[in-house]
Parts: sequence; structure tokens; C-alpha cells
Amino acid sequence: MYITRKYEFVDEAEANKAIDLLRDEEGNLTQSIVKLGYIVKVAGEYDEEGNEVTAPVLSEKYAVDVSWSGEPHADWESAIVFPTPLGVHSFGSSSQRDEYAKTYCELFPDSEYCNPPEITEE
Amino acid sequence: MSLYSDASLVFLPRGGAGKDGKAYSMKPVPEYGNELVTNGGFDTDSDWNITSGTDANISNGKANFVNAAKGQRIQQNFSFTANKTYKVILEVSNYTSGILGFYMGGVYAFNNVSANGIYTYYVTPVNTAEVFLRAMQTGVSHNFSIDNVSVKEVVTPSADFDFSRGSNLTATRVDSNGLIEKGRENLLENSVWDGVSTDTKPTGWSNQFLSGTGTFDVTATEGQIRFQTLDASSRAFIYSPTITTNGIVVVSVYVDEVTTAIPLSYLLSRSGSATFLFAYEDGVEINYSDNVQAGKRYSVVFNKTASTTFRFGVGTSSGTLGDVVLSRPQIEIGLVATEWITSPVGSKGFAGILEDSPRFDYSGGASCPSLLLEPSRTNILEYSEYFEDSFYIKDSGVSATSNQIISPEGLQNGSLISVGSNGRLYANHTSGTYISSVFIKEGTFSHFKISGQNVDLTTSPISVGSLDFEDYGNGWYRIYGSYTGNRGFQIQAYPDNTYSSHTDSGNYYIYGAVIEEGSYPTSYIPNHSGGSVTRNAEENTTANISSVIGQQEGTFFLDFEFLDGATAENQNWIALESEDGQSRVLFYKSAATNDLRLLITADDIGVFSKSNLVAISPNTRYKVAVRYSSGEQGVAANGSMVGVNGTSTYTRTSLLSRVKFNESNIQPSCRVHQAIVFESGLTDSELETLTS
Repeated sequence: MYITRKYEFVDEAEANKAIDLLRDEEGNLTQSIVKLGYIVKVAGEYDEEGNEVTAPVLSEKYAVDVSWSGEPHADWESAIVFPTPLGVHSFGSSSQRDEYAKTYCELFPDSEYCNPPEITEE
Repeated sequence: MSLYSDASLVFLPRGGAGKDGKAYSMKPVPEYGNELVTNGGFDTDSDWNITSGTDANISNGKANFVNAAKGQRIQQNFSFTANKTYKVILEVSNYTSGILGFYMGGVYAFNNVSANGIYTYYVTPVNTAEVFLRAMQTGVSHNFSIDNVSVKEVVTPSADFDFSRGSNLTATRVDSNGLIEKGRENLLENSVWDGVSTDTKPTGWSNQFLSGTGTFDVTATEGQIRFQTLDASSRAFIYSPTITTNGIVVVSVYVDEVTTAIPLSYLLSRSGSATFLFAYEDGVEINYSDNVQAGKRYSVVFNKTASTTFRFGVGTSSGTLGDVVLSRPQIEIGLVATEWITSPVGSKGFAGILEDSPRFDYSGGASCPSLLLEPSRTNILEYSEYFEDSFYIKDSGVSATSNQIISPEGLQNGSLISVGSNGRLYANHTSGTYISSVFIKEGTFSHFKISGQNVDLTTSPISVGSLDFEDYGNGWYRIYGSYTGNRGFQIQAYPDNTYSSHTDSGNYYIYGAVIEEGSYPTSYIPNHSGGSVTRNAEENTTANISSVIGQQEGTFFLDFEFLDGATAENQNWIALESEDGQSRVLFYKSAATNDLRLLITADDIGVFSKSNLVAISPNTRYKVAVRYSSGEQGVAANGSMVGVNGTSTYTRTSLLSRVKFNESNIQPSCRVHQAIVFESGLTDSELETLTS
């Protein structure tokens, strides 16, 4: 059983410290980790050649998603965040998406995500 | 002599034998001893003892825990031997709470069962003391029943691979028909509409709405609901469970009967946060406002941005009058409805690639499959099949129309790109170094600039400049190449091979775009969301099968392809090894160069190592076999001996106990065609024959 959890760190160095806790004796990672980095809050603008005209506005925190095979590492708990499912990234797993959405709605039962609006007529 | 008949372990993906969480080996055929449990079916209240509490009983053919506290046991004593392995099977039913454990000879076979099901575990007891079922959870009442308990000694173990990936929706393979197969799910719970009675909604569905003479009920056909109104102002609807999955979804339903003029938009609607995109009748695009007809399947594509409920039934404020009979509802991600998936009460339905199913892949027109083992990859391109979305920027005169042609998936979900010039279709993304790929098929135009490279689909083979390609048949090619920057997806179309600026009108088709970090393209990663998606790496190992692996002598044969074109990653370790890693017979790619290497260790002491067995290139099949016998090691590659060592003797106490295709947590990056183990050391001649 895998579960998705999302984390934010001060910077990449802090994230790497946490990630190093998840390496085996030979230095290989034991969990599936996706470093999202500083998430784009407002998209940048680019000219026709792809050159940046206006820089994107980035989050001040460094984001990492983990697909835990088993219980999440206790030392990661302080960095956990719960953005609205499924945020800017998700693991391609039905069970992980369901578990994250269920957990989110247990934490934020009054959120719009957990309370769909009424059906409207076409 | 058939070498295969002498093998103790044979894994051949050509059988395509696997299920969620298992890849089956052809040999050994497992053998088990006699049944050790008496009255495992609980036919009578005998042979078992209720101990450590009184909140359990044997009745109605089952052992029952009833509001039992932690520690409650149901116990039976029978003879068994320490340090032998036993197979334990039992069935749990009527589960509502608590955790079940099974203890045998000083260890738990399991201590985490918390749902109905049939469970199989293996246990190696450390003593010959008691055997019991036990309530495990502190402060919780345990309520469940147990039946069909079986314990047998494992005489010859199974060498099937436990397989996990934890990804279904982003994992694909090429099936035996040469088509891309995805993981599919029916997001609707209870798509068979269980629990419906007169004006009572299906079990687990969120709501129902009736007004005036509106009513609904089951029909004589299982899974159908008849919705009815007797006047033009009445309604009868049922509402789906809340669908939390966002992105592109298709909602479909079969209209089996209809006696009124009801528009599709009334029969099938939704709450807010789901923008209507397209509507189809048996796959043919219609207006959402068109009336439905009997005997047709209707599907509506939405772009969902928040949680949504969907509504099925009859009646509107503008009025309809009559009956409609519906069945087989489905909500799935993607642009087109696929074959209906049954989902039971309380669960979604699943089909195709499952989260932990091994991928037996037929890429490249292979007649026999290989076991595809890939590292984790993330597709950062949003809406990888929906090019109409504004994420994909179209220069003036460029437009995209979805679902216009049969794609490499075999579905009508390829997009038509129409152009009136050499204007671009492109997407901006986070800057970096990536592998970019897209499936493309010629329309009236056959010449393109893709990521700046000239691509000509009229030559044989096609010409792609510095890019590379894979032929998917039916005119479809997957074009891919490395890219550094923030615009890895960019296509321009041309009428001829001058690739000159033009104002001609023309078109072409595309499907399935991916931008992923790495040195080579992995299998297609579908993304129907407005974010990025990840497919996890595959993990696999056999259980402890030391009894069918030679310890002081033996042979390990591997027939595989290497997928990675880079030299500094994915060492692709494939091994016979001990649980503690002290003993290894390991094939691996050098991190520095593309040569295949061999390492044999016994109790953490090097026995024999050999580099440059063969220079390996991506997507090329190699056969290697090693004789790892004490005092007589030898290794052959592709029909020739490439190394021998007659001096190293050893006595191995840390037993080789498993085969693993991603040893030491190194993410795999290969295709396995065969993996075979012999308990004896084959001769040089036999190694050469085996690897020819």
C-alpha cells in the first residue's frame, strides 16, 4: 500500500537533508520522491522565441512529493502540507489519489473541494 | 538434452502470466505437504480452543470474533518443525473492525489483516510452540469471521515474483495487438446500481431527486433503472457519489429504452466545476442538447476543476414526459469512453494495467512479450492528449480538434491539428533538460519541424534529424529527443521538405505528448490533469527460494535488454542474492561506461568479478550466463565464453535466496525476456549454447 504525502522545505538543501534519511546503506533511495521545487504561483510570460519576458512568481518554499511504501518517515512530519487535491502534481495511482482526497476531506471537511456545488440545468 | 528441463527456476514472460502484485514463474512447480489443520472449515465446534478471553465462538461454519478485545485467541495445537516454511491460507468475512493476526511457532505469519478476503502468507516458525488466531488492536472491538484455515509445509517453494509499482493511471504497455494499453478505472462506485428499489437510490450514491409524478425503479434486467414522469413538470434523478478526480473525464451511460424526447444534457448532467467539452452518441459527436435514442451509448466529456456529482435520470424544468431506461454508467479519465467496467458497492472498478500488475510488453512488433521494468518518471506536460487546452499555445492559423482519428491506443482519441501556415503548436514549461516525445501521423502535411529538427514522414525509414523515432504502425510514429530549455514540445508543419515559411493550409494528427527528465523516453505516461503526473518505478523479488538455488555451485542465465542510453545512471542490477546482501551473483552495468559486468560474492567476500562482458547498447537483446561454482567460475555472453576463473573456492553460509531485477533499490531500466537458474554449474559448452 502506497500513500501520497506532500511537503514543503525552506530550500532544496533542507529537502535534501530529509531525502537523505530515506537512503539505504548503499545510498539508494527507498521511496519514490518527486522534487517539485519552487512551485510556480503565477506563470511567466515568454516571447515568440521562448525568451522570458516576465519571470514566473514562485513559491517561497521548496516542494517535494513522496509516494510512501509504508508509513511515512516520522522526521518528515514537520514539513507536511495538505494542498487541495491533487495540487500541481500527483502519482498515477487510483488508491493514492483516493487516500489523499479522503485524508484531505477529513482534515478540511468544510472545504469547497469536499462539498461539490448543486447541479445546474443546461 | 533440454537445458530448460534441468533448470530449477524458469521465468519466461512469454506466458504473460501475472496478476496484480505477481509475475509467475514457470518453474519450480510448488509442492506442499499434508494439511496440518484439523477442522479448518469450522464445520463443528471442536479441535479449536477459545483462549485469552471469551469473546469468540465457532458457529455457522466459521470462527467468529465478536466484540473481542486485543489478545482474544482461537487456538489449535498441531505438530510442525521449526525453521521450515509453511503456507498459511485463510478467509476473512463479516469484517467490521479490528486487526487479525496468525501466530505460529514464535512468529506471526501476519498481524495486519483488516478487511474481508482470502489471504495467503508464508511463515517460518522459530520454535514448535503454539498456533493461534489473535485479535491484535489495542482499544478496539474486533468483529470478523474466519473460515477455511489451512497450514501446509512448503516442500518446494513457488518462485513467483512479488511485484509492485503503485501506479496504474500513468503506467502503459504495448499489448499483443500492438496497441497502447492504459490503466483504466470507473470512478463511479456501484456502477451495477445495486440496492435500487422503487424511488430508492443505488447503494453508495449520494442523492436522489423526485418531484411531481417522477419515479424510478429497477427493471427485470439486472443493472437497469427505469426513470419515469407522467407529466411535463416532474423529475426523477439519481446523483452519483462525489467524484473528486479532476481533469478531463468522460461520463457515459447506455440508453436502453426511451419513450420521450429528452436531450442528453437533461439525462446526464453535473454540478458546477465541470466544463462541458464534447458529447457523443456511439462515438459520433453530437450536440449536448440533442435528444437521446434507445439502444445507444452516450458519453459526455468534461474538464473538471473541483469535486463534482453527476446526475442521471429524466425531467427538466422545461418539461419532458415519459420513460427512459438506463444502464452501465461510467466515469473515467480521458477523452473517450472505453469498455464499461463493473464496479461493486463501495469500490471503483478497475481494468487494464493495475497498480501492481507486471507489464508484459510487445513493443516494436514483438511476437513474444518481455517484462518491462522502468524507473520512476514524471510527465510535466499537462493534458497530454487534449491539445485544445490553452496550455498548448497555437500561433495564428493553428487549431486543434480532439478525437478525430484512431490513435496508437486503438481509440478515437487522436487529435487533428489544422494549420494555415508554418505557425507553431507549443507549450511552455519549467526550464530544464528533458526527453520530449509525441506521437505523430501525417495528414495532408507530412513534413514537420519538431523541437527545431526537420522530420519527414514520407521517406523510408522516416527522417527525423537528430531526433529518434519508434514506429507504432498504422502511420503513427513516436518522435523523441533530448531537449534543454522551457519549450520541449513544439511542432510546425510544412507542405514539402524545403521547410520554408508558407501560408498553405494543411493538417496532421498527434497523440500522447510527454516531457520527462532522463536520458531516454520511457513508455507513454498519460496525463489528463492540469498538473504533472508520476509513474513509480517497478520493484520485484521472489520470496525465499534458497532451496531451489544452488549454493556452492549453480548457474544463472539472463536474457534481457537494456533501456538506458546514458552512462551515468541506472546501473540496472539484476541478481541472485541473499536476504542480507552478503552473497551475490550480480550482473550490472558500469556507472561510467556501457559495459556489462559480473560480481560474485560469498558471505561478503569477493569470489569473481569480470568487467567488459559485453558492451551494451539500449534496446539490444543480450544473453549472459554465469557458472558460479566454487573453484570453477565462468561466464558466457551471446554464445561465447568471456571469462573463466578456476582458482576461487568458497563456502557460502549466507544463502542465495532470491532473484531480484532491481537489486539494492537501484531503479530498473530493462526488459527481461528470460531468467533461469540451475542448481548445478553448466559446462562452458552449455553456457555458450544457452547464450547463443
